[in-house]
Amino acid sequence: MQLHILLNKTSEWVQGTGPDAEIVLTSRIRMARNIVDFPFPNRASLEQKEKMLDVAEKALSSLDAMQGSLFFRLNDIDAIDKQFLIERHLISKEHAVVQKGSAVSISDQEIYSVMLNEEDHFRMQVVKPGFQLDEVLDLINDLDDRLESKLQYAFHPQWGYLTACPTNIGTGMRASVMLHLPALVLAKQINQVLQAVVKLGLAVRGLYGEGTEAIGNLFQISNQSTLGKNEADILDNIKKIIKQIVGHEKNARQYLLKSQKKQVMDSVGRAYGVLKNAHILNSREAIELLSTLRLGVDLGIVTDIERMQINELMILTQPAHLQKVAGKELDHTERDIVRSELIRERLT
Amino acid sequence: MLCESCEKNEATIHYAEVIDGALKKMNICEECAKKKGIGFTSSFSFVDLLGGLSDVSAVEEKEDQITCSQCELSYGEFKKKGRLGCAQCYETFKKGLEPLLEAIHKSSYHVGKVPKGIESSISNIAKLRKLKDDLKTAITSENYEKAAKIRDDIKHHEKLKTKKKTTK
Repeated sequence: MQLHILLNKTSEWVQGTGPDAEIVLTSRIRMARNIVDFPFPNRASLEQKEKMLDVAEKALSSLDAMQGSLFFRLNDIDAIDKQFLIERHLISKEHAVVQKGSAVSISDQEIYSVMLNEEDHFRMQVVKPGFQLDEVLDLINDLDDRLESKLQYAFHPQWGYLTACPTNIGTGMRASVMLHLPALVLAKQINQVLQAVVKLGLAVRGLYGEGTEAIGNLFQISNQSTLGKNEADILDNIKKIIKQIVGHEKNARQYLLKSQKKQVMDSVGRAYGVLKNAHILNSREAIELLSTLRLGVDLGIVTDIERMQINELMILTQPAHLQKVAGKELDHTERDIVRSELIRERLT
Repeated sequence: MLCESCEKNEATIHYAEVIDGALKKMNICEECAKKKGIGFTSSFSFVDLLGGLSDVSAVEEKEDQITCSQCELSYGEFKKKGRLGCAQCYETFKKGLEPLLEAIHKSSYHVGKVPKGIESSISNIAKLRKLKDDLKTAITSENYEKAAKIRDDIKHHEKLKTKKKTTK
């Protein structure tokens, strides 16, 4: 299976580089598009969906950005592979469930990915490390323009790009930023900040998007509304708010260093200790400890490892990734053991 | 608690700001928040909203039976699922969708990117919309001279629009 190609490469965003990378893990923009030739996926027959996939595969393969990309029909891959793609944010949970007549196309270095026949015909996505939404918008606009020259999009003069769910019409654009906010959580300011974010018209989600809880102090913040503002204005609004949150997190980190240094050093040290010495670690415990350790690296408390190693572990210790590395199916007890082995090996 | 900015209205927005690296908590009213350039939209669940729509009266029952000629989705089914079936549905259910979209997005008009090739016709539509808004403002402010000029502009653009349609 071609998927193991992905395993040997780390996605570009794992590098832990880019502006404000200690707090902003990734900047991501997704655009939803449909073409006029077929009903939306929820209303299309399997035959129509298959035809749509043929049209899409042909159009995508002619684009420079998608040269050397991988193309998978979801019913050709098994449950672990699907979970693997979810863990890498290349497909959504909903997409994994649809299976028949749906596919995903992933470009080299996972910069571009396109979900086909998820809720809409096309769900394009671009991810970059750190806080760089403008660069991401340029990239996705380019892909969108090129694709548009090959196909006829469903577009309404008043309502813009049409989507299966009315919450996405207009620009069809959802921009989201993944934030690591351990200090705001420790300083018990996180709820206040997140409530303000929601009041400002943005959505807060957990690691894997809609309906998932926040673990490892990771929060995904994205725009709610897609109609009535242009793409640049939507981004400006998010950028303003993210800048403020980043400022709050930095302040909270300084505050912790000043007034609770010993307590922070203690938590970081304990997290590091457990990670280096545990023999059984479940995924939740692992990500929480890795989050604390990451804070320790960012604050200069831990100096013998790098942020990138932790980012990598956050990805690799997820259930499907562990099973891909092991090359076999593992039950959860086995996974907890293998997870601890991988972490011990990487941290010593 | 009174708004810390105008000291008049009740403070309903509580937020924190970083000024010169220091965290400052602010309690202000919505009006002052808007003045500060912070746009406010409250969050809500889309399903709740659709649920609110299914208070079935006789008129609504009739509306629920409207069916899309292209994909055969009925408005009633849409209300249950929250998903449209095809591009044509947006025209078929326009009447019902208009208030819904307004409620979701606080807007009824797309102002972003437009596919190349139809840019000119779209910009004409956008221009007309703006002129009509301007006309309303001119009339309410009793600036009739300006209103007359705008009315002429509107006529001109409407001609352009129909011309385009007939030459199609």
